[in-house]
Amino acid sequence: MDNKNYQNFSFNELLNARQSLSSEASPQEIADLEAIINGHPNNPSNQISSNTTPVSRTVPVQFFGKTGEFFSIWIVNLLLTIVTLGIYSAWATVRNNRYFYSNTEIDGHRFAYLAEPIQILKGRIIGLLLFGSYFLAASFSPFAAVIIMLVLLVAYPLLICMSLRFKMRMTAYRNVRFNFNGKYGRAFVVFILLPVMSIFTLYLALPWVMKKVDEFIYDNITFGDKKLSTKLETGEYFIAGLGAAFIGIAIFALASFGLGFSFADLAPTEEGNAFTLTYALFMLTYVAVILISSSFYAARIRNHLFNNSVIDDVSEFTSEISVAQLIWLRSSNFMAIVLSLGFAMPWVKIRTARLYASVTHVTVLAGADSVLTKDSQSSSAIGEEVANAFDIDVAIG
Amino acid sequence: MSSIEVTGKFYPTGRSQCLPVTVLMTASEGLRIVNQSNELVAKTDVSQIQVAEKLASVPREISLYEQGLVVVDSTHAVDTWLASNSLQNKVSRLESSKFTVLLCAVLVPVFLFAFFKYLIPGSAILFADYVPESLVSIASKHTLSALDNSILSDTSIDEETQNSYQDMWHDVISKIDVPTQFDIQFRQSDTMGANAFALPNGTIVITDELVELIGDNHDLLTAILLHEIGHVEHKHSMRLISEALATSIAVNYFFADLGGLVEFFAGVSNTVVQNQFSQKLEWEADNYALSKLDELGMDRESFAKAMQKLAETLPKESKLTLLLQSHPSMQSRIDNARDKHLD
Repeated sequence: MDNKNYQNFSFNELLNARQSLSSEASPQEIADLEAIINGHPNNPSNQISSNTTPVSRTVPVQFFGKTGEFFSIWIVNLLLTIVTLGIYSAWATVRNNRYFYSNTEIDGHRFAYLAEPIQILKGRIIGLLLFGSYFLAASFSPFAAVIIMLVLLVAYPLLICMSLRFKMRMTAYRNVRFNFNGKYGRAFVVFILLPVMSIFTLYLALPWVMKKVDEFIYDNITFGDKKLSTKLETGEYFIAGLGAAFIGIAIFALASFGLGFSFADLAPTEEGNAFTLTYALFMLTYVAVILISSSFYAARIRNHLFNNSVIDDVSEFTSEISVAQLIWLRSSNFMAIVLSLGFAMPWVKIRTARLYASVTHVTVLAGADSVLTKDSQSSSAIGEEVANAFDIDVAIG
Repeated sequence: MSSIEVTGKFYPTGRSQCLPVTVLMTASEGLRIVNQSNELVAKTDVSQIQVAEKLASVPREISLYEQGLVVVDSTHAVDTWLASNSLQNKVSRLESSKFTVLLCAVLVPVFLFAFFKYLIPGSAILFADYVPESLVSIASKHTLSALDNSILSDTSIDEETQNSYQDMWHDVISKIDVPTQFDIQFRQSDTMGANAFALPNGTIVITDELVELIGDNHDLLTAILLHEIGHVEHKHSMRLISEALATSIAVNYFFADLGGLVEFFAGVSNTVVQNQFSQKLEWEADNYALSKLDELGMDRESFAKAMQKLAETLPKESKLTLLLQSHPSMQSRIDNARDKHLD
């Protein structure tokens, strides 16, 4: 083969040519080709040296979504979903998700959401059929309901794994997909076995179980050929978990002193109006407890997770959301949705994404340019959609 | 169409590398991607590209088959070129028109209301007719046996009294024209108190507590029985099941992934919607009972009195709790029995 030919090759064609050269090719030919590859301007090693990029840099996560823009997308897609009796919802999901992924930028590169609507529609139909038969069977026979509950219990870890896998496979950054490699056995242990066993410790071991759950989720995430790894501390989970429980109990105690109601009042009384007032106050306290306790837990754990996760040689993360920020975000979101009868939904989603982006930083490491894509069999949306139909959801930070 | 030249980012397939490039979009030669040293990195025919649909102002993502991904800003010129070389997305046009957005904002609440108010109950009636008898019978048997194993116990009413009630009801049922075979049974239940319920196969269960409360007046008990027969004749169980199924699916998909507190709120609205259905069915059963009382030449007041007696055993109601209950308020049911006359 004539070496001159290679001069017109693109970098990828050169790489392909190098791979297709058999071992019987002359050493000179191989050496020449490699020299061309090494000197090619598109070679990543040349890119890094030619650009004056520092080896590692800490950059913000930027979110460019705008409320007005997203409102238009949301309302049009909602109407199309309703008039098509839900069929269009698969397309709507893709457009909504793409808006958030494609408007999130780290270090000059945006995320991409790659799911195909048809793929989601198929999964959604299967999910609805399963949920429908479950619901009908359970309504027609309490005994069938018990059996199905047991089946669901066994299927639950599988659905979670499939769902996480789909979510990760559909996410790409720099044209490289994420993936999730968690297996059923371990999922069964962390999602079913350990939570059940924690009952016997009167839930005192629950924070430790939560840590195991998070380790399972995050340690199984990969970005191309690189693995995400976490170093989580049990102590932090106990502080967050017990702190949240303590805050909840304290608010209930304060409320029953301050507002003068006790749980006994919740039993029906003769005076109808007093019952209503007590009931309303109880609901208010209940909402406050959920809000404050869960925000305390969520903020601490998110920070801990991000600050202790790395993708080797690619990136490190920092999160510094405060409990107060999260409480304000969630309570104002809730009020906005209720008072606007749901119309504030787009505003809520945009400002939530904006806040989370603003408290997050990523340290880009030297190897960020040389992550290789890793082929794996494509992932179907069935698990994800079945999980959705049964309201099983695992959020990823 | 003239060719355009824009700067963009090129991500070659296979690795996380990104090249700053110039993208030439031409009419005849497709896409040509040139790096900063002015060397050709990739080129492709328009048939070999896959373009992510236009979505607001997000950058355009163009996949080059087996070569990589190129991302360019969404400018008018770029959008026009991509639109003429691939299927333009009509939805994006709807989303960018102020008129359609406003129209959707008006239509969404209207359609949602119509959906929950008319479409779901309407299709529930259709569904109820298609449930096979055998399934209804199995469902009823399983439900009764589950209740027998939990909150119901055997009746303590002696056989003679039972028989006299049965004879009376048999007489009533034979006078009103109904196709269903009814099977009336007695049970004792502390949990349910004075109550009666009907299973879709025609089994009607009356608690000892109810007999104790109003049993001395046969007309009152008959009025309650007619209400339960109304539930069976109108296939209310099946309608309620399908309404509950349709509502929970709709709420799940229309208000999906709202997160935390809002989801809790969606759960409450699901309960409220379903209770509205259920209250509507109670009204149907009440009015069925009232019209049958007329047919039998009995007094509607019997129904009002029965409700009155039941109301005395229940806590007072308020407007808020009414939203969270499956039955209409007792007072309104009594008023309905006293005021309403058949047309």
